[in-house]
Amino acid sequence: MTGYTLINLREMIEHLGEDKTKIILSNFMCPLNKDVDDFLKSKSIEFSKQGIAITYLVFASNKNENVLIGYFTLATKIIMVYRTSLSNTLRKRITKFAQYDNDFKRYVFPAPLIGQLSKNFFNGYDKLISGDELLKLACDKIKAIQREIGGRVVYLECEDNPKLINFYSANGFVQFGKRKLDRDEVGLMQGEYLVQLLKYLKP
Amino acid sequence: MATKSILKNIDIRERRMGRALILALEKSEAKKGKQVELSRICREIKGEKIKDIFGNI
Repeated sequence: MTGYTLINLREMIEHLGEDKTKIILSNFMCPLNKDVDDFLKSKSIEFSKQGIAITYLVFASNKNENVLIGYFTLATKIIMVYRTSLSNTLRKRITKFAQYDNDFKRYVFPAPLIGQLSKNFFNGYDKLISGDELLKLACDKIKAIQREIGGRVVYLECEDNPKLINFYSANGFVQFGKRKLDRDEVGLMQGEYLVQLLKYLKP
Repeated sequence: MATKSILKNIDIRERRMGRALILALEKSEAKKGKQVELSRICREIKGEKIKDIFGNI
C-alpha cells in the first residue's frame, strides 16, 4: 500500500467485523481534544451503523506497516434561515445559495458537516500527514458527494482557538456565528462556545 | 469539533445571524483559499480489498 488510503468505517466493519475494526481504532490518540478521541473509539461505529454520521479513516504506509494517521467524520446538515431573520435585500441575496420553503417561511440549503477531523498523535503518526491535507481529503469527499446530489457549502464548528480559526480561515472557511456549549460538553473542550464556519466549495 | 455538532440543527432565527451567514457565504465564494497539494496519492479502497490489507489483524 503506497500513498494515502481512505476507508469508509462502515465498509471496514462490513468486511473485517467490529472486533478487528475496534483493534485498528484503538491505535488512535488525540491529546488535543478529548471529544475527538472519545468519538472515534466509542461512538463512530454506532453512528456509522445508524447512518447518523460516516467516518473515513486515513492510512499510510510506515515502516512496511499500514498505520492509521487520521480520520474525519461527515454528517448531513441543512441550514435553515427563517424569513424574518433577513431584510428584503438579504432575502434577494440568499436566493443565490438557498431554496425558499413557503410552508415554513424559511430558506434552506444543504451544508454537510465535518463533524470530526483529527490526525493520529499515537507513535508520531501525525507527522505523516498535514492538517491541510486531511482537511482537503474531507472537502474533496464532500465535493464528490455534491457532484452527485447537489450542494455547494460545507460547514463545521471548532473551538475558539486562534490557531484553529487561522487554520480553517487559510483553507477558505469563513466564520459566521457561535454555538454555546451544552452542559455535558463543558470540560471536553476549551471555552464556552464553538465557532461556526462555512466554506463555499467551488466546482 | 464536537460530537454534539453532529446531532444539532442549524436554525438561523436572529437578524444578526442571518446577515452574518449571508456575508460569510458571499465572502467564502469570493475567497481564494490556499491551494493544497497532497504529498502522496490518495485512493479509497472498498470491499474485499480491505480484507486483503487488514485481514490478518
